[in-house]
Amino acid sequence: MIALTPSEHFLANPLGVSPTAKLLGQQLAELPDWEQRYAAVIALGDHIPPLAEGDKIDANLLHGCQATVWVVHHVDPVTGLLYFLCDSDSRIVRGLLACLLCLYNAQKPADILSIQAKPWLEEVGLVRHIASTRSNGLWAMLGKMKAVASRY
Amino acid sequence: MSDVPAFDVQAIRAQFPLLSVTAHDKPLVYLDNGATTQKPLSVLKALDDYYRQLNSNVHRGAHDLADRATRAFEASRRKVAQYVGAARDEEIVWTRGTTESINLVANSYGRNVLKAGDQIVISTLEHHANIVPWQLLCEATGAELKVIPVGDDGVLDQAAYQALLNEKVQIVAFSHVSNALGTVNPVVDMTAKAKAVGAVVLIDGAQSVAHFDVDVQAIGCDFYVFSAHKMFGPTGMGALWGRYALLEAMPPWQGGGEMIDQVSFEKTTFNVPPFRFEAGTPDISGVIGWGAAVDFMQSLDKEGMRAHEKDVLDYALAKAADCEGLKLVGESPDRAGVMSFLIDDSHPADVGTLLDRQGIAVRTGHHCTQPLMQRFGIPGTVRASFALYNTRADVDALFVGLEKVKTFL
Ligand SMILES: Cc1ncc(COP(=O)(O)O)c(C=O)c1O
Repeated sequence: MIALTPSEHFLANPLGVSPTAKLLGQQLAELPDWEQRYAAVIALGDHIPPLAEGDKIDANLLHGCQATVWVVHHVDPVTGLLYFLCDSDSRIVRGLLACLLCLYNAQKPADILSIQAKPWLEEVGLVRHIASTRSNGLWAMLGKMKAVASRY
Repeated sequence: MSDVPAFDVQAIRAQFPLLSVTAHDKPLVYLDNGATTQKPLSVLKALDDYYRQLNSNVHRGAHDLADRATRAFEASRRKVAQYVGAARDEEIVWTRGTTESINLVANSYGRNVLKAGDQIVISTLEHHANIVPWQLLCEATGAELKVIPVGDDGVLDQAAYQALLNEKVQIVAFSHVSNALGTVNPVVDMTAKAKAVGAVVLIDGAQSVAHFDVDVQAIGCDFYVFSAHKMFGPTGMGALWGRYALLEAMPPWQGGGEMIDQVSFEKTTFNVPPFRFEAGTPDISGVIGWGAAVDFMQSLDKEGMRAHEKDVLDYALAKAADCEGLKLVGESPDRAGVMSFLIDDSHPADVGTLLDRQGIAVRTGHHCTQPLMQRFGIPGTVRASFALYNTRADVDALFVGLEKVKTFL
């Protein structure tokens, strides 16, 4: 395997590029039951490129969820697009994070600030299916992404 | 007693309306009894009757209704006192629960007695409720906290405990049953060891009172603390049992009505225990509801109940041994009510979420025992905790659910 430079690592993340939020939303909304929806969400989590071990440090920890979540970001100096990578020791949380990446990864900071996650999550049937205790990680991640975007 | 009907779990289940509800459109399988237990009809009725027929403030009544409420209130004290083998009713102090009971002892007894250089011994198995009040007490007094280590099997290291004991130890506090692992501690022996160095012993009985008879005299401890809601009674209600001589020597913790003898701006004198520690209007309906819960427990064929609970837990443990990828956390041979485990390297919260979707209620996480989880190097466990109304069918549902969980993770 060829070692990627840190920025290539971010660019290698397909989520938000393909599938986009729109496509993912259609796919999830068409699934008939919770089992398939959970399976799809968990499978989506596997598409997040693995975080470098060196990024799994306390400074990158996201607080407020039962699972451990790390988030890092990168701004492309040429395009100005904001990229995120994240990981969790919980497969469900990682899948949910992947859903958010479909919405927010590789976007302009201004768009990240304006795109609303909750209506979309409701529309694709995720909010209803996520236990309230598990959605904490989701909202914490959302807050983190918005906070990062507001700095650029 | 020959007039006690033999333990019949289906007849018992019929008395718990909540066991018939659904969760995520599936019949609920309730395996979170360590967090709180469901309530039988008799308790629900006692709460309802109280507000319909008896509601008035206790101990201040100049009227018939208040007298009757006070009598019912004090009758509950007797029931709870007898349930744990108290020498007299006045040894039961009403609190909001185990947590408040421990805080009461730490703040009243502890602050009065401890000085810098003294020691408090607790165990690695403890719930945060039996850790944090002692830490606060240590900060306030300069006393030192010492911790009994636990082995890989979830059993306390008795030799290490013995080695921690010396004449500086003023208080020893440990749980009767571990809420996270189900370990039953050898409380009689542990108490005797502590008494041999002159320490006062507090036992956290939150997880024991639903499973077996407690006899504080036989244990020989000084304080025993427990919660109503973990033994089929109302939430937010609990008790401190303490030896009367100790309670009598303790200063009040909270001030207010009910706990005083005479109040003047120059000097206030305090009521005798237990009233000294019961400032303000108590949870009267909670007390009366708890009395009904004790009646419920006392009406049972206890031997039959224990045999049934053991059968269900042993059945679960046998299934666990055959369940691929399942690793038990805590393997004490002497255990009550709890099976804690992990599935491969799956996050316990994921297992819990996928069980929940199938209508199976378990608890996941650290169970308010973070130091214990740190000891095992894990973020938490999945905990199935059983009560007298659980059945082998509940266990079967759990393991069918776990097979499905494994297909996801
Ligand atoms: C062992 C133990 N101690 C203390 C507590 C605290 O009880 P409560 O919340 O009723 O005060 C619990 C409850 O989870 C417990 O299991």
